[in-house]
Amino acid sequence: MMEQALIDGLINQNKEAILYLVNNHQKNIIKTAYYFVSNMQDAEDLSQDVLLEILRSIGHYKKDSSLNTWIYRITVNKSLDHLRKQKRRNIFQTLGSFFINDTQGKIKSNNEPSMTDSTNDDREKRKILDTAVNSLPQNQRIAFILSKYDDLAYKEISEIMNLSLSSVESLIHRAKKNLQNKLANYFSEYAKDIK
Amino acid sequence: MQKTSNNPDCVFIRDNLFSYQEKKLSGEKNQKFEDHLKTCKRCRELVLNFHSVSASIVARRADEPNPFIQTRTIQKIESELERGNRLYFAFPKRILQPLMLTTIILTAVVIGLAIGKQVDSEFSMNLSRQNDIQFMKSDLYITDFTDEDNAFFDNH
Repeated sequence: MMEQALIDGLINQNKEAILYLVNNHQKNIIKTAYYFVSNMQDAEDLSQDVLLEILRSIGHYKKDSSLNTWIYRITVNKSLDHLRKQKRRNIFQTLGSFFINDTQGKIKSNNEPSMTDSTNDDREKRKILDTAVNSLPQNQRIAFILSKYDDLAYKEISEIMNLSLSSVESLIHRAKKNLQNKLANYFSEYAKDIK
Repeated sequence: MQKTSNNPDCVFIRDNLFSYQEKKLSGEKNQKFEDHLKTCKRCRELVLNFHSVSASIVARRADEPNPFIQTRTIQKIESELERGNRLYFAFPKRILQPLMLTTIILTAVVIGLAIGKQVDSEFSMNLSRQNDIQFMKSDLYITDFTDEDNAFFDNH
């Protein structure tokens, strides 16, 4: 389906257009959200929110970027919102368990990686990387995830983030440098601990 | 033993972990990198650990979502559309919530002001009556009041 036909169909809430959107875009939306939130179930729920948001806002879509870029922007924003809410929830849960002294009410870390096909070792590695990536400044994190996980070209990332190509290059360069330092420090501490 | 953070060669390794992995180092730098690995056990371990951790990026790409998610999503969208076609007109929660809160606060302030004004006018009415009586008493040069006088003022 041509992009304009899809947009018109979505504005008119045409069933065929909605089916096309879900069948052709949802998987990518889930994957991108998953790279940010590190939990497949949350990513699936987020993808539904993103698709509903697309249907709500398609009338306001300005054709200054491709539909795909616009969908990426919504996905990244929704994922970051989700992480912020999760952080707030965790703070309240920590406070709640502190005051209630609920020994059973351990906070579920939503950053746990998906359990599918993951050994303990894999999970541990993912956790180390997630911790390092999540500690990056927001723009570096977005650029790094879109580049390394989503495998997008710098030009696409610059369009999604509304930044110049050189800014994206610089963000990714700094993200890698920070990650190298964080991981090197982690492993040197780890090496000390196991000795 | 060499310390990863201080030795310039170890710093070179640490600063080029991604470039080495992505095969983006020039021939000379690549040689320098590999030569150092041959002599430094800690850097060898660091490179191995870094490779295994960054390999989890590729592993994550292989994770697949629930195969029924598209069917579930289409059902959800259809049910949202059936519910009075609210999608276009749904008022965003982030606007509605502060709006409601502001309305409640403003209503409370207006009610508070109205009650305060009423009490104030009753109080000032009583106060002016008391002043009038005091003025009358002083104007008539009455210094000692009998019970009868007080009853007179109270009745008028």
